[in-house]
Amino acid sequence: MLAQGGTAKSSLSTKDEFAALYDHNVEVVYRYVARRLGPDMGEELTAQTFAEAWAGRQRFDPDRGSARAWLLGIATNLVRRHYRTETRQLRAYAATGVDPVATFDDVEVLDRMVAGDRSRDIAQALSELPTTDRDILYLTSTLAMTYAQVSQVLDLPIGTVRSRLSRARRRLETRLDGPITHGTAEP
Amino acid sequence: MNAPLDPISDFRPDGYGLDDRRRERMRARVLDAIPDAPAAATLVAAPAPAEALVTVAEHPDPWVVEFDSGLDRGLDSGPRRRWGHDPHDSHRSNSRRLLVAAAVAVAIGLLAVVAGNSRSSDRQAGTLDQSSPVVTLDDLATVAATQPDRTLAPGETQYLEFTQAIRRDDGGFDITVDHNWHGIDGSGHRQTDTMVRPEGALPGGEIDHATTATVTDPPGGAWFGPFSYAELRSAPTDPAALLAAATAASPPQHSWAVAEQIAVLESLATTPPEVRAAGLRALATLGFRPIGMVTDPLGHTGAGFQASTTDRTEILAFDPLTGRALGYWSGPGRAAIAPGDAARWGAFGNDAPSAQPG
Repeated sequence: MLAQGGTAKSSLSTKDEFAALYDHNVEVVYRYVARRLGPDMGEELTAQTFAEAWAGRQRFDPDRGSARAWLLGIATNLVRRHYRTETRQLRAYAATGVDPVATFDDVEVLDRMVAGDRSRDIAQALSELPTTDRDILYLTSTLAMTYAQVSQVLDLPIGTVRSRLSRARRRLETRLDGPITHGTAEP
Repeated sequence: MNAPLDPISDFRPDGYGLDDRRRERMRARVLDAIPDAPAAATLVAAPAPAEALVTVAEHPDPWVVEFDSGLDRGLDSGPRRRWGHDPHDSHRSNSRRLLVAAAVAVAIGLLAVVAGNSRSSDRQAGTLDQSSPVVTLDDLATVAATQPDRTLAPGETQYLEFTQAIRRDDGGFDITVDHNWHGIDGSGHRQTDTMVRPEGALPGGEIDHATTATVTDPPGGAWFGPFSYAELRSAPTDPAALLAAATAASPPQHSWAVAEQIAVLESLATTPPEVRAAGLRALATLGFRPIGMVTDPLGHTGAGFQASTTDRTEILAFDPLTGRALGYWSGPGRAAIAPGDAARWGAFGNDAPSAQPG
């Protein structure tokens, strides 16, 4: 299946084929980026992700991972360029209880804009995580990716993904003074 | 002890679904910009850059570019391409004009571009993985070679705009916008707007606007990069030969002139596709290396390439879908930019040929 790892190398030579790839994956890429940087940056970086994918499509190697993993890898690199912005946003969230990336046209988000102390603590804890640890945490939580899938996205060994996620969880538990049930990544 | 929680889901709910309006806007932005014609059958992957890659976002003084992908208007049947640009941005209204070689020679000036890589000391936090997908100049050349050709008809002029900003002592920017209209025979008009963007002001918050009187140029000028229009249209399609031609046409006293002139060529609407492709490959031989997509503070984005010496750095940005040059940043190495430094950022903008203004 193209979206999850089909022969994208042979499926990206025309606009229609690339459009199919786009339609299969845009929701996932956007959700991942928007969750980290907000809807506006989500839109911006999602569009950039696909532009970069089109321009560099000849370097996609299906043997190294799925098309979706490849796209999320591009998206993650783009997000990393905004690491400082993301950190500033998290700190602002921690300081004020108001999520700076929330938008007023989203009722669900608006309802939660004024966060409780716990969410503010989480924001502060996330702001203190190293870049890669934060990447792994979001990929596993937001997209429920497995260790193997995350390793494809970030081009890291599975063992590194596992150990970094474990470290990130320990850091968060220490910082938040309690256990976390952060979802998912099973080998 | 608190109850267990999911640090992501509990912290920020997944309330960011992709609504139809945003979905359609993104789809149009991405897919409408891709040519309908089949892509080149084979793209040659360039070798990974030898040095760690840095992002412009990490630069101490992020460059600011106003570019106008509307330079494609009239050249393509599809919608305008505006990477990262807010279609409602009022700045775009200024973008219907064109850049001349002389203006760029002044603007990009003081730049020494030599073959070589960024120094290892230039590495900083936020570098990209070398394994990450990065658009190369060769990628862009392949794309550029497939773009439609556009010639200048008798009686038409091409508008080119060049915006540059130089840091003021008070932290703001002195901004000049050169507007140029020139035809096939080299005759045309020039005009310059000047303004000041105070420290902390957002784009659009400029003050002290002024406009110079219109200058009329007689026939015979070379206003298309280092070339006249006829020379542009017959310029070499081999990178080395193009470099030689640009070198021969550039002021020999400036070592940066060749890269500068090539950059201008890459921005012009009427540069033949094969010449544009050759220019992109020529830039690679001058030491420009990919640094990934770069985004300016206005959100404009392009594929970035950097060349550095010990005391100068230049970054060029290109539309990844056309290979057209969008803008540049030029500054003193990677040191923090202090007021009064000759750090500059600028943008190329040009439109399809149009009637010459009265």
